[in-house]
Amino acid sequence: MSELVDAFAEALRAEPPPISEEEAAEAARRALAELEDEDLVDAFAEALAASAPPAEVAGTERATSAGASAREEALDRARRGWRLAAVAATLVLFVGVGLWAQALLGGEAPAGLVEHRLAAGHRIQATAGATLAIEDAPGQVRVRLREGEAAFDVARGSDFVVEAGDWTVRVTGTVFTVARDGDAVRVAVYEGSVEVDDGAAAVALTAGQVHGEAATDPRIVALARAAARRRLGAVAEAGSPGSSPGRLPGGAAEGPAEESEPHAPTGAGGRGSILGEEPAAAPVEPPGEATPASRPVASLEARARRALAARDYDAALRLADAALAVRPSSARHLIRGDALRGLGRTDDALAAYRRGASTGSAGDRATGGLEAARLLLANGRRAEARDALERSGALRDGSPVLLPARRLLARMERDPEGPE
Amino acid sequence: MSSRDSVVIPLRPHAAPLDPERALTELVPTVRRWMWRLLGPREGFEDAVQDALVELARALPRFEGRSSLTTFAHPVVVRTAYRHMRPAGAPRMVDAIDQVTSGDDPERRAAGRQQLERLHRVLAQLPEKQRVAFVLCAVERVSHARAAEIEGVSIETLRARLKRARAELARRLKADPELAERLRSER
Repeated sequence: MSELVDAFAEALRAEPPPISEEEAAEAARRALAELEDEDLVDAFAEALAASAPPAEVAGTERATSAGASAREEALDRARRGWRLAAVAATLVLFVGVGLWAQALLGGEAPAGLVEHRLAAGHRIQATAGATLAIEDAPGQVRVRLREGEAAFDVARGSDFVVEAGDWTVRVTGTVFTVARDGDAVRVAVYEGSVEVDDGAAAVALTAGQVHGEAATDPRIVALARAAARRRLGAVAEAGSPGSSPGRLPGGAAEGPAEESEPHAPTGAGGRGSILGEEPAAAPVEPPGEATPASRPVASLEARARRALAARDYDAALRLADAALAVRPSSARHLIRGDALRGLGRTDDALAAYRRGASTGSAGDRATGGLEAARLLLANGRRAEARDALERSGALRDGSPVLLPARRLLARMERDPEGPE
Repeated sequence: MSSRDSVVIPLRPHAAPLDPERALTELVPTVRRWMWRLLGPREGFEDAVQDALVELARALPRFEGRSSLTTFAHPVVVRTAYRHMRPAGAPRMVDAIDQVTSGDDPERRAAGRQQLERLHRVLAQLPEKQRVAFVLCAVERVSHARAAEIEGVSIETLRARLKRARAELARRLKADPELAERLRSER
């Protein structure tokens, strides 16, 4: 019969209905576009997570209000050390503009993505055909993207302004996208805050907010998402209350580049080339580290795990709640349980573990059961602990926590009256 | 030359970026083939493929280039396939099979379509985990170790599932002499 089953398998080796390359590309674009809304919701939840009392959110807070009040708030933060801005070593933004500047600057990009680094450590990634003009001076950079699209990874401590037609986006430490389609411009903030002057009025945008309407490119959205999460990860890993304060939203005290006289070209020092001088021949420092797309991202869930590892249970709880608000999952309930357990809220932690154990895969249920059992045992509730282990499937063959569950059970049987 | 326009960023090929759209586009045929063999020509096949692409788009930032992109993608596709296996009842087959068994001979084409439907109906009767183990190892010819990795189980568990799947299939094929004979004749 084995041969017959092999014949069966062979007959199943059929190919699916063929699709064209265009259809495949369209499917890929749809998949990437679908993530954009999720990211904005994620960013919205981030902003909510950061809106806790100041004493508790020093590691993750950001501007939450517009105009003068935002500026006052930022000043306040700067005085006591704005941890987020201080440790957020990079700023990434993406600008898509029209084709009007081809005649002004000229230059044709070869196929593929390109990268260029400036002396201050800023990194710019652009699509083929992009043409950019920059004024680069120490601590102050102004970029005009005249054609194509680009991603900017901007080192901390510099004023950075991006122009798209009549719009000016002033960076205040954030990750956001700017799309331009003719006269239409759209700014979406993924992390932190920006100030946007749309030619009619100045608007302060915070995470989760969008201003204007224009078509967006899903690739840019994907890159922005990765950059924002990477930056959030860097904040979680490198945050230190003693770090130097960052720039202010609005930049009044530091003097934004918009009011400054243009600086002399810095092509030689900045490894760029002077207009008209063989731009493609200028050296580009090869990336010595992973590109944005290949770096691990730091989601809310990952940040919550890091906070747990750092025993910052308040932050872990807040981040887990935010992650659950975005997308409930068994793993997130379990993280929430760990945070509550760390805070000594045993009953709440048990409820979270049980919630985690009641949803998700068999593996999630087993993990939730094991954690609940550990907590129950630590609180002298031995019978309940055993019940939690058995009911969750933690002791079943194939359980991902089979070994620790067996060890816990063995310990309970070996020392029925003793502590865990 | 005005100083404001004085510097043009040199543009040249990036060293090693992963363009998400390009990566996904290149994966589409492979994802479709995996999904086709896991789910068969059922209604909702294209939705399952699209779901897998969304999951892959979400996972791509974690891809560090330590393995091939297809190696990275396979577990994601299998996990997505599980979600689409769950609706109760026998899957409703679709006419799309015509496209994969197309040939000049209409009679032969129709026979091929009917056979593929029958094969997938038999396969769909296996429990999900056994079905996946069988498709990975017997149809896709993935090694047991790799299949265990994709499934996130021990190799012993994987082998046990595969053994049960083969035994169950043998029993069902034995009960369908016509299909069995046809399979034998095609070997």
